[in-house]
Amino acid sequence: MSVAADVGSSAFPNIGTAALPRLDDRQVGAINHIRNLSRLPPNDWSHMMGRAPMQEDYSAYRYQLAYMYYASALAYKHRLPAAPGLFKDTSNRLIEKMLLPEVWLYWRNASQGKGPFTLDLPALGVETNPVIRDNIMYSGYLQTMALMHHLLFDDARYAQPGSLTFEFRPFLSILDQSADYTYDEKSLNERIYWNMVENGYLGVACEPGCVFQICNQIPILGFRLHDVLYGGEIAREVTEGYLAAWSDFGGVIGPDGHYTTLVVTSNRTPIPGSYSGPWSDAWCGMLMNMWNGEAVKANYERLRDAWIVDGPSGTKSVRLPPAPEGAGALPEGSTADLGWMSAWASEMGDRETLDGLLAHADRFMKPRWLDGGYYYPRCDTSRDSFGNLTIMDPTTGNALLNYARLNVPNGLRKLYENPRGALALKEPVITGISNDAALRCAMFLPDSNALVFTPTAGCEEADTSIFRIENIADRGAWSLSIDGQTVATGDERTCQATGPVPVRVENGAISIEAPLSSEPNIVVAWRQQH
Amino acid sequence: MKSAVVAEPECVFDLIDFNGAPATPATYAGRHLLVFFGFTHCKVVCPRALSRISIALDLLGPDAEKIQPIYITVDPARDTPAVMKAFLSERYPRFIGLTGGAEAVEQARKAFKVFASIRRDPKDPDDYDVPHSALTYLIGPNGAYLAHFLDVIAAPELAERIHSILNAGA
Repeated sequence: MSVAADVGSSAFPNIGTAALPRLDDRQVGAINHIRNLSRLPPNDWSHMMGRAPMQEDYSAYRYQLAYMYYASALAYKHRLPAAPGLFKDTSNRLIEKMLLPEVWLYWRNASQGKGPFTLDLPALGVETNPVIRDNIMYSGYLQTMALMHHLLFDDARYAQPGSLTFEFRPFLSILDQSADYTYDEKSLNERIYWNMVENGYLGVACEPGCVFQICNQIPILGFRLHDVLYGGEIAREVTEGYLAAWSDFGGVIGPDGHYTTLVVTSNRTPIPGSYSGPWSDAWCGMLMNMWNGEAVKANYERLRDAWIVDGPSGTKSVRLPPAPEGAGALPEGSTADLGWMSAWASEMGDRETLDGLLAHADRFMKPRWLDGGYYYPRCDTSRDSFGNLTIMDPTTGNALLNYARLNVPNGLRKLYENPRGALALKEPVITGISNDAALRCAMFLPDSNALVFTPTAGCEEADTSIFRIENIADRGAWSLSIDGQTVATGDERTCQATGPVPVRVENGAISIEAPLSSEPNIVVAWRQQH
Repeated sequence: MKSAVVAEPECVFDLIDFNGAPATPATYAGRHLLVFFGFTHCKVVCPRALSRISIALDLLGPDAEKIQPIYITVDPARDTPAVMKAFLSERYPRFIGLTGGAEAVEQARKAFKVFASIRRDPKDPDDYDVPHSALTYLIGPNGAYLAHFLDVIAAPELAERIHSILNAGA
């Protein structure tokens, strides 16, 4: 006699699912849009192409990929923690895209220096390897994505030697020699660490000679992830050194009361944040909140109020800086200011500001649904005829507003403090989803010893989807119910379906083919632990 | 072509010691090196670090005989061999001081990935000081980098870590 036949549903806890948090339509659409873009073939950058050439502005693919990655990570960690299967493939695909030459080959040009702040310095040699020196505006993002993948999905693939390889294979020119620059999550972390040490912890430069605060928050996250994975206290070492180094320039907040944007190292000149615009304060604040939260919180409202402007019907927008110099003739508002402010408001838990900014975007920035995904298409016109901000860059439209929509208060900070995903906890989780379905809810409730999830239609039109549930070993008998009705019982080897919904146990996992349109509440409950 | 990229510090220097003799890693072949970069006018970081390293070497007992502590200046303009000898002999006698021309010192600094930058300091008699990294490097008898230690590590822990590395294969 199977265990399944031996248990009645009364042996399992009665789980109330009505009060559990669920994603709304736009949050589901945000995740779906990121999944959709991650699935585009290599070098198909549809919906991601920005206005500036050469990957030099904030629409660069590296920023879109990284902040879509972080948005997914936050959604997984805080919104759908029992659904690694919804996010893992997206994670790998976004990392693969980061390794495409289209993303990093700008460095062959940018590595030579002589940017707007360093015109007086001699030009440097051409460097192809995008992580060997400087360029933390790329290397830090790849570092964090690889290490975060390891922790979130308990998957060591980027720890393997050569797993992060930059292939340079010019086809038409014999002047360049082909090269593979091979790294992994550990060697890349080590490379960035020593770059940081060499610079006295002030930070690693983006373009030569320019150390931005913003971009150096990213490797700090990377060091923290590395510490959690491999031991050590690099993050503490670096953050302590960072604060000491920036104190030479008046601290992380400059004399003008804004986050200092960067230091030009050749002449030790800080460039004040008030010169830059809302993007500088917001981007820096949203990231620095990870490890310097009290200082960020102390300055948040003052800086927010310096940049936010109220609009009609509770909408909010941003006061724009002058158009950025260089990088082609860019229009006013092409620095993703509304996107960074939204992301910062989400991190600080400032619901009123976040709702106002999202309401502005939804009302004036022409959002669109595409294959189940929700995003804001690029718009190069700064304002409509009523003066409302309409410009939309791809980083804001694809990544930042979706990031803000999916984040929770102090979400990035919580990820910094506790970056491991549910797979490492060995709790029952959804590891496979067919037909690109989506989820409104997916969490394991330890007190109830139950996995609860609510499927919904995702990127494809489909009536049903198969959900695979793993980590069920050694938990004993389970009962699976849909909207309160028991449809199957079983254990880690056997299953007895008692309803019309197909449920199986195969290779130590439960598979259920669930309807999507009715968005049922599905509960897999194990006996309560006593 | 595969590009091998070294991230770690490299023990490379071509300097003179505080007796005026040439000094390269080969000079100390067969011994472990404990290397610290600094400058004799340093008011806080160097005295603290050199004291801590000296105490750790005392705690190491016989193991300390396998190690040559080296202090490399980042301020060659002021740290002549004579200045370094007077500074170290009096207070940190285990250490050998190394200095050299500005270019040679810069080469050593870069190889070890040490940060140092001249900064105006009106309180200093010469109107400048040289903020610098405070890492202590352990180099193997063959000149290979083995480990580095932060300046927040107390002497007993430093001694313990060095001891475990020295005796890892024993």
